[in-house]
Amino acid sequence: MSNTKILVPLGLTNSLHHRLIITVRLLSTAGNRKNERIRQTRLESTKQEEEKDFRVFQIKGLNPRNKREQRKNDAPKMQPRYMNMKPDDDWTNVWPTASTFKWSAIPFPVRQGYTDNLSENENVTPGRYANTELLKIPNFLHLSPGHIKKHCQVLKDFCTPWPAGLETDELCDQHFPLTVKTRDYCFSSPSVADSRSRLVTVKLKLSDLRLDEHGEDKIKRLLGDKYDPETGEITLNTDRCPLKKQNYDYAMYLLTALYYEAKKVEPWELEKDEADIDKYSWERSQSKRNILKLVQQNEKEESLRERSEDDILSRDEIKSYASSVIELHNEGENYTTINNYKQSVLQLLNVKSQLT
Amino acid sequence: MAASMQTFSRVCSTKHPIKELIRWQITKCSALDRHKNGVHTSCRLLADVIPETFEQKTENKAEKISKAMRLYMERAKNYNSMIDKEIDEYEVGKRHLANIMGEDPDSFNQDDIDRAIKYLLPSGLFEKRARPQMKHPYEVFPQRKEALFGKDGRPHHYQFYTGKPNYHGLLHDINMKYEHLNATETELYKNGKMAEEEDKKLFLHGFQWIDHKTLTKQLIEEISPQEYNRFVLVLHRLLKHKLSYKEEEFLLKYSKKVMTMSQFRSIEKPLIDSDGREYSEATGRRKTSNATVTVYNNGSGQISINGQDLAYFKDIHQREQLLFPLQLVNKIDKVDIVATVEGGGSSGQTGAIRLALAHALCSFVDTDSIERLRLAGLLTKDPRTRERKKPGQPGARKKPTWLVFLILMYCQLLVV
Amino acid sequence: MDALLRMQVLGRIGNIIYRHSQLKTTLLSGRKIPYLRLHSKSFTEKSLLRCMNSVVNNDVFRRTYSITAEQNEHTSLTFAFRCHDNNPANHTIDQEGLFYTVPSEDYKRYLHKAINTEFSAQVKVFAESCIMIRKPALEMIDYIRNSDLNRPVARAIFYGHTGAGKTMSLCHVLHYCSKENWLIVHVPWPAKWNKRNREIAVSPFKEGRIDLPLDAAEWLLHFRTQNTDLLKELTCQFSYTWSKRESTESGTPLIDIVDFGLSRNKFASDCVGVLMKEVKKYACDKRVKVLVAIDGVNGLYSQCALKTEEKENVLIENVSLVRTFRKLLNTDWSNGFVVCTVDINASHYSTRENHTPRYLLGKQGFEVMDPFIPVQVPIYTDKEIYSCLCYYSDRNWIQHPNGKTDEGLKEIIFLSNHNPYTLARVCSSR
Repeated sequence: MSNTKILVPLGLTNSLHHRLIITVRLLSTAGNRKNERIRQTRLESTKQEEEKDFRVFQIKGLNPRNKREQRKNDAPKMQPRYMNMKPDDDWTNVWPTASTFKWSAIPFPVRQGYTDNLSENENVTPGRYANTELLKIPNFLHLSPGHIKKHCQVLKDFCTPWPAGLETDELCDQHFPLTVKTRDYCFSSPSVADSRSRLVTVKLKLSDLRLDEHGEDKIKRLLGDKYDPETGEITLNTDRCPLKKQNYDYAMYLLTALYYEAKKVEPWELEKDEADIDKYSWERSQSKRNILKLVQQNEKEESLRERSEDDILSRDEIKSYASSVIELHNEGENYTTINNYKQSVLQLLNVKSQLT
Repeated sequence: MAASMQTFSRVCSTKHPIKELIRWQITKCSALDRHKNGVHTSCRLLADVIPETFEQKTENKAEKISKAMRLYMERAKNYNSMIDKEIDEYEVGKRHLANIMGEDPDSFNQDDIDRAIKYLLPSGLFEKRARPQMKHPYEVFPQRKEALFGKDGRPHHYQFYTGKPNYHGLLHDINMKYEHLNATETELYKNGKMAEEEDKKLFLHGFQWIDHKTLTKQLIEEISPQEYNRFVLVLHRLLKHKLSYKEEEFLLKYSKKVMTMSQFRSIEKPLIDSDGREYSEATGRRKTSNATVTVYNNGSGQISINGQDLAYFKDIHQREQLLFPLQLVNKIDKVDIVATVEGGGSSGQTGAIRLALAHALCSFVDTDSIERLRLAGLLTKDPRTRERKKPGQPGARKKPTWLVFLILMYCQLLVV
Repeated sequence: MDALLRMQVLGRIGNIIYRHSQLKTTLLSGRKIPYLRLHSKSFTEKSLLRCMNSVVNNDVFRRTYSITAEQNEHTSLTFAFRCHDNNPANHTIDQEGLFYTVPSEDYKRYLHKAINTEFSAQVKVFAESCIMIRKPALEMIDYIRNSDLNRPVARAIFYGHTGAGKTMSLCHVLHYCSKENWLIVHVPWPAKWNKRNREIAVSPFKEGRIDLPLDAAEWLLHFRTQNTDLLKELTCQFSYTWSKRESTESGTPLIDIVDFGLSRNKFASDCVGVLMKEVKKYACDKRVKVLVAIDGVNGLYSQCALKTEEKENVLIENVSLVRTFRKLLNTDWSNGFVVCTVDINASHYSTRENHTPRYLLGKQGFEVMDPFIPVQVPIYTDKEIYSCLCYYSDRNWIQHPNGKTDEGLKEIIFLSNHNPYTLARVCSSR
């Protein structure tokens, strides 16, 4: 009873604090003459009165104070909490929120430390009592499986069911093709704001824009690096404005501008050279001209020479040759494409071998 | 009186005068009680003092010895009780931990404990032994010897007074066994049955004697290298005996297998892919290159590195390196290899692929060949990396021309 | 012991075994060695030999380092690798993988300049020039045989990885055509003319044109050697004025033009141009069959590193020799066949990613050559590689006895990666 403590708000002045303790002491050990003396001495020793009185020199050991010490020793020492804990106690009640590691409240004998030889704590890893290393670790004792269950139970009341029709990732992408990524940072330092939080990333698949061939080609040229040909994704990173909202607005504006520009056809685009074109076009190629010339050269009769271009081009051999040339250019050269080209040429030139 | 004075002075010279004085007074009081000799106490003061102090001295010594023993026994008892307390705490703590993690406390073993501690107290320290852990007290507290002597002060071990009873006891045991075998041998010779024992000679192939550290741990005593050598010599002598097979169990206790599988990576069984072909995968590193190799069994010697065939390595040295493991296990044209490698230069990439290839081949090859690969050093990762450049030097080892050093020396001389 | 050191020591021991004949025979027979006689004087060798008494009887060691006599008998080098018919016209696919010998006069006349330095060195060492009969060359010969010579000229291109045998296939075709009495226009390596160190002269006839007098002279000599008889037969159809004092009348044999070019380097390039014009005309008139063989045709369409005296870059179109041979690739003539190779090494450094024809020829080259027949020259098949190794071992090119065993052959094949050129290099250094 002599050790009861009460929580006192910090606003109280020192003297009041003293007086409160004193009253408690009085209540607990009422009728004790010695405490009365203590009270008196305590009152006397308040700051204002100290200066007035002459302090008496107390010789140590003159008056035996055994009883007092005895009482101190008799006072029951509190056991650490874990000794009274039972294995089926609810851990969520013991450790409700995140807090520092309390050695007395941890029921399992965890140890931390590295010892090499007998001179270091007799080669015994130090226990949890007064182990600062364990204090340093950010512990997750407040997030045990029991805790998480409770959190989830409570959160369930605030949750709505996952919308139907969005079960898989593909369905989500289908209905929500645009992805906007924003970042928030939270930490304590002289400045609370982080410059990385104004970056906004907008991701979109090119195919979702549904442009025609010309539009796709134009937008690819406009985007340059921002388009990834392997995944077909457009990535727009904006951080030129100071605020996140402004960056987001700018990204949306950029996307709109790109889309409409890609749809437009400028007059100078029609002057596109063969060198600018990505794909091989048979119509404009030299190969076509070559083949026509060759065919005309091959014809022995004059009359047949005046056959029209379309007639020649519609011949099977020419068609297969044309397709093989287109394939050779567009798909790149590999064994199949080169072989196809070879077969079509052999057919054209009318050269045979058993070994082909 | 004179004699008493003499003894008194003798006593005084050895003891503290004032204390002696007090004692004398006290003895005087006790002497006043009827003493055995029945002599007048005032005269017999000093004479009475001497025998009493002598008795007290012997009494003190015995008291002292028993006190020491008592303390020793107490200490031993305390240690044991402390260990028991720790074990109790550990067991209870295990149940508590299981409860926290929401698992069955009865089937909560050490792996679960490790996992739980890792979850609740995650530490990013590089040294794994410095991280939080909860281990059984037997693993935490170093082993101590049991009480070496009883209450009467008599030691339990017959070799106690050597200072290292376990060690000397062991040597003695070995020698006793040797003597016993000698005796058995003589008996057999006498009965003419020695011929039967010809084939039973014990050979411990692939075994080594336990090393110094293990022996120290086993015997819980500090053993010097000379003592360890002695131990090995004696054991070896026992092994060499014709009838050593009779003591095989004992000898195996102090030997360990040399070529254990645990020395290198565990050999994995080959996997089977969708086409039903056996294959095995392995990774390898060298300098800054990383390689992943898939080896298909029952192949025809086709090799693919990053999509290209062996022409990926233009240098013949690189190709030779890849040839090495295949040639050693005779699988040059019997396996197909698919490798992907990135990082580093040609030499680094080759080393990485070679290591991965050797490891992958282990799945398809018998233990003899694995041993050959290991002896050839193909299963060991080459730990060499590029040495760092030091300040004041153009490279890691290269130094500026010695001329500059001369100038420095000259400057030093000037200063001096 | 450190692994590297261990292998070194074992290698040293292996060396000693190899030299110590008694050891070798006992090892080869597979018997255990009870005792070694120490005749060696060197101390290290003596000590090593002492150690070997126990080591050599070790099973593992014996298996790794010994070859038994039985193994020696069962090597795969028992192929027949020679073809006895030296006329390319008679070669069929059944003789694939066999080596036929090019008679030395033919070699000196036609192929001497056509091949690379390594093969010519090999010819010297082996005292014979043997070419392997392979499918791509046979295919090409078939095309030439079956082509309609009345039609405009057909173009075909050999392509393949470096060292696969494109030039050798071309040589085979050359040999065939020479036997059939075709006129051969063979350009060994036009990419040589793109290098910076060539001697340049400004063309006297056309402004802006660059001549390569020495190269043209070199080529004229080569042309002359290959086609002496035909050149003596054919005569000029037009007359040419070289300068105020020198001119050639129509009716002079072509060989005179060649000699003129050789003696007057200044006009050599123009001589080449003139000759090609004549040759084309003769071909169209069906007087003579012409084979145009260019090794590394993509060299005619790649970047040029030549610089004029004013340190200006020269465009490849302005080099007269290049122009001349480019004209030959067109389809405006008939009664001939154009066989070329595209080689990755004939292109500029920046365009050396692929070995395929369209990539190496570039847009311009492809448009000129299109449509052409691409014929792939692959690396050796198993049959071909064994045949080649038989040939090498027959010529004692593979000297180490281990190289002739099955295991050794497998190693050589692995190291060479079935590439013919690499195979030759690997065998030459062992």
